[in-house]
Amino acid sequence: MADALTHHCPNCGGPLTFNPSDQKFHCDYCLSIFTVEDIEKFEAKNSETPTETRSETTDSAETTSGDIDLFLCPSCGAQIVTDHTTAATYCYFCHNPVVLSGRLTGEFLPSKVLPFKIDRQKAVSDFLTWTQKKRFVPKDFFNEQQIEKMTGVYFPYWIVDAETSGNLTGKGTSLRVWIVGEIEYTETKVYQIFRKGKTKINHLTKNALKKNLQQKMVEGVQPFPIDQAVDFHTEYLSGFQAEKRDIEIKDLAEQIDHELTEYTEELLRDTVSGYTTFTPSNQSVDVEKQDNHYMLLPVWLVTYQDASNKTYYYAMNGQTGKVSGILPISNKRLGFFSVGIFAAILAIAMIVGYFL
Amino acid sequence: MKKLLLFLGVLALFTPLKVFAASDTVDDQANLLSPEERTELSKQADAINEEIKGEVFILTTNTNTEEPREFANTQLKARIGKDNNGALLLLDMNQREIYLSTSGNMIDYVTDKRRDKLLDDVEAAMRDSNYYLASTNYLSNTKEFVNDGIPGGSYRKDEKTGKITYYKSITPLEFAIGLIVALVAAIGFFISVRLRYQLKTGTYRYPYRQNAQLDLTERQDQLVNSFVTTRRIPKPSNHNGGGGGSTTNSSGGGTFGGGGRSF
Repeated sequence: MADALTHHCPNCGGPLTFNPSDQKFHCDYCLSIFTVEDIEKFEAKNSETPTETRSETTDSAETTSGDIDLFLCPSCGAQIVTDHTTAATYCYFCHNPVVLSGRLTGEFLPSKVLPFKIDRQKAVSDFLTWTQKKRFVPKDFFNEQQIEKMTGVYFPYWIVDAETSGNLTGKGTSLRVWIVGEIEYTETKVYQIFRKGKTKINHLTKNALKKNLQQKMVEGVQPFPIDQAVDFHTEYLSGFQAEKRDIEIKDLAEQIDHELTEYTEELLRDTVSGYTTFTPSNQSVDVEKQDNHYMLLPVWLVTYQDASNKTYYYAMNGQTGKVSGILPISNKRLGFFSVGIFAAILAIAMIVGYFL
Repeated sequence: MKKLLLFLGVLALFTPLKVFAASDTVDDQANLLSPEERTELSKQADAINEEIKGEVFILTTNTNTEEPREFANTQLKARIGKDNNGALLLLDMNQREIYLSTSGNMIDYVTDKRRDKLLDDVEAAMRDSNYYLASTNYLSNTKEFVNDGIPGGSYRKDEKTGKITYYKSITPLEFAIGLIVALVAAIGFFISVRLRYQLKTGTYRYPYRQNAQLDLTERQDQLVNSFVTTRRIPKPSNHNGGGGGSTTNSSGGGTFGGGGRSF
């Protein structure tokens, strides 16, 4: 059954949270700092007298009704209401970070996690810098006071590493034109082209949360530096929200297969160069090996309210700081700029036309 | 907005700055025309003057002994000033010569080809001693040239040095192309920014070229066929700038076009 747990400080017993700036775990009470190993060692030693308070959720503790689940907070015992997919959150009452570790075990144990690298402060300032670079939003649309909420969330993703083999046949022509006197000669050479090769496709990233399918902004913060992902420990989640996957790899199989095929074909096509025209006649691709990794990747979600209380949502990559989201447009600013472009190009065209 | 319209209205009232025919528009020293004819010709000249923002003249003489070109150029310069817009038709009864002198934009309007046509018409009338017809031929031809505009690719060729200066202008076609290009660019920019801000375009695509490596195990480029075709290059049709150019000469610091012949 699902367990709710809070990682506690070995020194004082206060809750530990992950700090993105030094990639270590901080106790807000006694200001101690720990690494993953420290905590693991400590928790292993004390497994009989648990500092890692587990509230073993029995049938009575976890009641499932519709889309929401109930957990008991390991610190204060209050009920925590969560979605089906929530894997880490805060207790609403005592504000202790709670990891629903049961949601991340067995087949749902992520193979890796990419920890946050950007902390809250940097996220806010990065977000504001990003907005200042946007020239066509209404003036004064963005300021720090209007950031309603900034939430760090680990979202579930499928990372696919694959090896494919493919071949490509086709006809290429190359033209050569030269002129002798009044006669123009055109030489056409026709080539039979064949390419065969193996492709390694790394880190094809696929969203594994249905909630995010409609969210282009979450899609827009990619790519994540998958290489920097570390082995999964629940400690990384404490202090953040986390979601578990609700899209299985088999649901994506067709789409992934299609993409792998497409990329292999494109890469093979890229090797055909130096021809005037190329017409492929036959191509085939086999996916020889496919490794799927279930990973949790970090995203900051920003809820923003403008002066007229309209709410906007933005997402920021927790590692690279890339921001994405629907921006309001100042038609006046954009219009003026467009008219400027119009005038400039017209002027250049007229000058060129005059001297031609 | 209203103010702007008012301003434009006031401006429109003042713009047709009438170039009133000077009293010497028709200078009939040889007394070939009747007063009514002179008035009529002056009226026709007025219409042209407005178009070219300059002045056209008719000068008849029976006392001149100077070379007609020299005399016509000097007379034109005296009336309009150096290199200003204008034309003068000299009917020299003493030497039985006609000479057309052009200056300013009239050099470009009256190309060599057009000049010959004009002189043909004037010469025919002069041979019949129909001086009024000669004068109206001159004016009607000039008006026609002005209405047709300066032919595309027109140039000026200096008589002595042979230096060719192309007449630079923006043709309506060039203007239209420029306008369309600018419009497309501006609208394209507007729409693309809108779409990007609303996340309709420009979202993430997996960069397969960076994240994937291809190892080719086999690679064949086999030549299967090769052939040569030939084509005779069509000679460029001799449309040398369409309207051709205007030969110019310099006298007294000014540049003049035109030409003359005897009758």
